[in-house]
Amino acid sequence: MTGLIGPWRYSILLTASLLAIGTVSCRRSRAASSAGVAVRATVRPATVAAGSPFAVEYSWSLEAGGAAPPEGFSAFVHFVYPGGAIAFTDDHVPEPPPSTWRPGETHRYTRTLFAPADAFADKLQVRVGLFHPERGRLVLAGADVGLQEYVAAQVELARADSRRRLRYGSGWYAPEAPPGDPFGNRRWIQPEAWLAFRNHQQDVIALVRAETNYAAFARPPVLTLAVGSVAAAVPIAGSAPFTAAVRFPAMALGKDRWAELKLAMSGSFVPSAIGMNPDQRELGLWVHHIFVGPASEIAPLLSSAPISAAMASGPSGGPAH
Amino acid sequence: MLFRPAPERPALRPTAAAGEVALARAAQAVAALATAALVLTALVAHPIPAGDAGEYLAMAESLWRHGTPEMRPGDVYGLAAVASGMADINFADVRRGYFEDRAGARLSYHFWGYSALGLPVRAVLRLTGARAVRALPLANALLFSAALWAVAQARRLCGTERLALTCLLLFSPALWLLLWPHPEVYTFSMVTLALVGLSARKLGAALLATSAAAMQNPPLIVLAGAIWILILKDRVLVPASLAVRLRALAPAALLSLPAVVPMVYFYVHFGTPSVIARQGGATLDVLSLRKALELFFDLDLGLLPCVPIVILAWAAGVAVCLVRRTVALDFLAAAVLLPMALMCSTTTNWNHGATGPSRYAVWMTPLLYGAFLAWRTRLGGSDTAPPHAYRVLLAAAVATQAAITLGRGGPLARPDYLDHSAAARFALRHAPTLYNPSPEIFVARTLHLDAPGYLDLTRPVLYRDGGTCRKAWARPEDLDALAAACGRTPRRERSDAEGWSYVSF
Repeated sequence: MTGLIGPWRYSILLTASLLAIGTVSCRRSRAASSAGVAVRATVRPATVAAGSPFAVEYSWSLEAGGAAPPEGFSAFVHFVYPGGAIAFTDDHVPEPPPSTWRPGETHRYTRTLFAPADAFADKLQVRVGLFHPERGRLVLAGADVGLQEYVAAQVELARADSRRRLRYGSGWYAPEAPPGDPFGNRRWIQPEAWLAFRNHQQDVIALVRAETNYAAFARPPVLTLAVGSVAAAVPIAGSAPFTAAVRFPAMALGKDRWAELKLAMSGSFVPSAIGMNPDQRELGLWVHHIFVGPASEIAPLLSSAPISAAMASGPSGGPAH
Repeated sequence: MLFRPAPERPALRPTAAAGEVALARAAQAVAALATAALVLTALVAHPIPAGDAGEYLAMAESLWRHGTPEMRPGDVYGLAAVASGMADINFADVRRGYFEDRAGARLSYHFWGYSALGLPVRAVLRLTGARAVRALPLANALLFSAALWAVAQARRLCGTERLALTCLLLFSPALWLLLWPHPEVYTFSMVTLALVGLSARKLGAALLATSAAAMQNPPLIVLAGAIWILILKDRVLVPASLAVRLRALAPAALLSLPAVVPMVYFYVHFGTPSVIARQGGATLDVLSLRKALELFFDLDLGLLPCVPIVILAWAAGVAVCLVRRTVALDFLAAAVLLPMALMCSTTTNWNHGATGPSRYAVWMTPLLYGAFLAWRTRLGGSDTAPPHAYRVLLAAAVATQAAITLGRGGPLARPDYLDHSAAARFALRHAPTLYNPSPEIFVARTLHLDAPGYLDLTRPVLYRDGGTCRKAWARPEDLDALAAACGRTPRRERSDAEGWSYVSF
């Protein structure tokens, strides 16, 4: 009996090894063939403090004679530490979608991102590519650093800037960083939450990236950002994460060293009360990132003009998306 | 003499009675079955990454990847990968426990000794293809089993006691923490091994086990100190040459090293023996006897609702000792437990992550079980067999604990530190004036909110039971609003210096 076990074991191991090699080969073959697409990215500023916003301009080119990727391809963007660990991502659908690209065209657009508040300071590679949920990744023009990832830019991640420090007041729950965003610092807020920022007596832009459970609200939720009596309303159009930028005039900040920003949701929900999960907290908005900084520094990083805050009865902004 | 020692305890003598031999064998059978069940549970059930578990997992990942406890980006990413789908780790919580040392390395303010224990287990798991994130729970299972075996084979205990103590340990609150990658089961097991060593008068082994336990939970230095007193009494302060006495002292000093290593490590890296204290996680400002006693008697985070007979027997035993001015095991246990509990009370996060009682209370239970043995003499024990009343007491304690521990799901029990326990809810419903825990416990569990920094202790907090107001933590100026909200005027109780007090309805 023992004599049989040896050969059987080797046969099984051999078969398993062949199957494993086959699987790897299959995975590799899932990469679609070259479509003549090249990608570049420009990061502004070149050095970003942890927790701060920055802009990435993506530039996608389809060479003359190249074929547009089939429908369903989107961009994956990984900000990668020298050791290979992903610090954060910016996966998105390029504008316009890849399937609409024409040969010889170049498409540029800018996205405003945040460096995670607790990320390690280091030089990160911006690795970009195109992927499809079923077809896998696309081979692009340029040097593949492995798994059809292409280095489109680099960015220096620095320690958090103490001048832009925020003081979290009441209404904020403890920070969270789920496994998918291990360097993040997300916080749920109650229907209302306050935070203080340094008042340099100049116009500021409050930049918020957040999401909520849209379906949990009886009426479409609205986020209001206010400093004193100056406020802007940001209607929330769905459950997807959105970025909202609101500009506050210097005069609204008062004369104190610290000014206070209020976030107010038009409603709230308790997950356990609506059968979502056991969470018994009253929740308003899940804030992924929040930053308040001089308008002169932040405005150039935005792809569209910020909402201007006005006296509380003033106009509201458009839907956040 | 204020206290006179109790007579020699026959409970510590082996008995030849056939029944006792059978019970001793039964104890070993329980230990064997428990070992299988514990290991299987650790291999099958998902780890529970509550409390500071994320930090211990992160340190284990760092040690595995580069041999140091320093957190690097790849460790975070690697841990996220190995824990994916099995343990929901809040990495923001993990990072909150890390600080930059003098060289800029990110190190946890908890010691990495327990995480290092998981490395050989992880190596074995890797060979078998099992998930690495199970390494620490599996280490817990193995250590827990070792403690059970040690008690089941303790020669100084009679068969009845071996079986009862093995069962008491198995159904202790430590079982609820089996799947937590957290050092409580490790500490609990080490304390148990130390007590078995003490009972056999193996002072060196007892000191080593205690020091190893103190490595992760420094209040156990008190127990190490007690063992040192025995060593000095038995081996150093005896008529002998200086060389002989030094030879007794040297190994004891060596065996105490594990308790000192963390302090040296933190001093080298941060210039302080305790980063937790320096960061405000522990301070003498919040040391309090009330909090210390809550570890035993509070209905939410105390041991009373979890091991009721053992706690009541201990309290009664201490009272008997005080009245009779005698020294028995339960009195000695109190002399060690109370200073340890006082040291624990210096933590600023009093209502910390737990399932059942406070995590600190969990590793104190072996001392309480040891104290339980004092009842053999009190209930009229003889040299040959333990008295019937003592057997009944042990059986009642085991049955009660098994029902309570398994009733909460055994090792699968979920963290419940943000809810009032069943006992606390019962008290709040029927006798709210009698239950007055530290405000942090009441506020956190009434609001279901975590972490001291996020608890608002400046606003009144109202506990309702099925819509009926029962108790609130409030100031005098809140009473009108509470009366309006509840339809009844609350009864105000003794207030603190700032005017806050409990009010009951």
